Amino acid sequence: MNKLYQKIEYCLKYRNDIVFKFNIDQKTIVMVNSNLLPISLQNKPVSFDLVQKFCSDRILTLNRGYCKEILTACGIEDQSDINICIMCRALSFRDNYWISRTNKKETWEEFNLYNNNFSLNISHIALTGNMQHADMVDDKVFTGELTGKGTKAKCYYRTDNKVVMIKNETRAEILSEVITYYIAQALGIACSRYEIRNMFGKECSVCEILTCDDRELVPCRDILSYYNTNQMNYQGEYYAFFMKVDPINFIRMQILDYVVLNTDRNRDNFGLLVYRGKMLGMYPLFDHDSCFKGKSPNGNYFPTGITFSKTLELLKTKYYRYYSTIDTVRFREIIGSSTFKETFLKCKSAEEYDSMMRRVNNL
Amino acid sequence: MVIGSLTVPVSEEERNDIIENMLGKRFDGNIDYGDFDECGLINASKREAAKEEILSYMIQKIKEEYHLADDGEALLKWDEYKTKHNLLPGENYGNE
Repeated sequence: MNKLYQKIEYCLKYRNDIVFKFNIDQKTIVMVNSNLLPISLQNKPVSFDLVQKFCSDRILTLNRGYCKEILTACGIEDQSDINICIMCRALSFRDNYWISRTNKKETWEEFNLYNNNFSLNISHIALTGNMQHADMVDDKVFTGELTGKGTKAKCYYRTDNKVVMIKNETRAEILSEVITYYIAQALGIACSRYEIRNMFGKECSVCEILTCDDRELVPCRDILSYYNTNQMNYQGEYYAFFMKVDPINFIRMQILDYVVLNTDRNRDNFGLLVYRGKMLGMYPLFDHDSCFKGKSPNGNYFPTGITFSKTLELLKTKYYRYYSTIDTVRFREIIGSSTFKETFLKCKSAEEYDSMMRRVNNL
Repeated sequence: MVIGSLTVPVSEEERNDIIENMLGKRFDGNIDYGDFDECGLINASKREAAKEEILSYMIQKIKEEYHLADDGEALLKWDEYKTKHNLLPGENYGNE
């Protein structure tokens, strides 16, 4: 197998600025601008491990739907994390980092996924697993599918000048995505809007990608990495950091998750909004397919490491100063209104509404 | 670099402006029912109903062709019926 790429010198770039250069064959790294390091790589010794970590955190997981088909369609034989990243230049719809050959004059403007066309054939394969058009995939892998997170079959697609994410989900999951957006509105926390659509013959949720040149997402995973841990719990440094950056919206997210019993607020499913290089606060919430799944408030809530109910108690006591500023009375009125109930019942059952109202009344 | 140095204090108002620019709406505690996509929901349930109707129709056709009385038996003949009548799975590319 041709492993020529291992002898080439590459660099990690933030837009057009080189962060570091690296050589895979020699396992060397030369730091150029440590101020531009991704947050997940900061707070660590400078070694080739940074390259490995960046690539491992970046790429899709093997349990993602149609992972094998995507890799095959992209012609990726050497499926090491680093090679996958190099093949797709590590371009993503998350942030402005990418990998380029050091000796090539490649610019961010020429390659970023926001302003350039990406492969719709790979998108089609990523959503459906249908390899019918695999031979039409260009030699140059130009896609965001290799750097997306999650396990469900999904894809990026450009429509009406916008990039959207299309995710194949069950009807119940899609409707959870749809209705949670309205509950978030009532709570006053920004959230992605989802629609139900029939795409490529499959029932899917569709939501707009909100990142762009100016706006990046730093997932909680990266904040945990900064603190050199994988564990999310309310006593951890990561939790204190979110509470420091945007306490009100971090608390609103936890209230929302308690109300809808979101069992999948994992480290890739929330994060911070970076606007023109600076962290502003919570990124608008997304990925609500695992809400209303009939779970108990006594189940574990990922971000705190304790139950949903205990999380609510924690917010009401330790963080009362912030919690008390959230207008839960008004929220209860809106969710309890006949207009909202009517909308809710178009997506979910009366039993689910009653169960949710019991939790709303506990706020 | 200390992670805290990357954060910038912004007022709720400034942050809301940026979010509004991102999502095209303000998240101020009011629900905008105007963007509730009832059409998508209706289409989805119509598709579901259509699937049921097509299934019933095909079962009826198979029962007539093979002189069967039972729906389950008709379903067992589905592959044979499909081949006989050259019914290939349809491709539906693009938006609905």
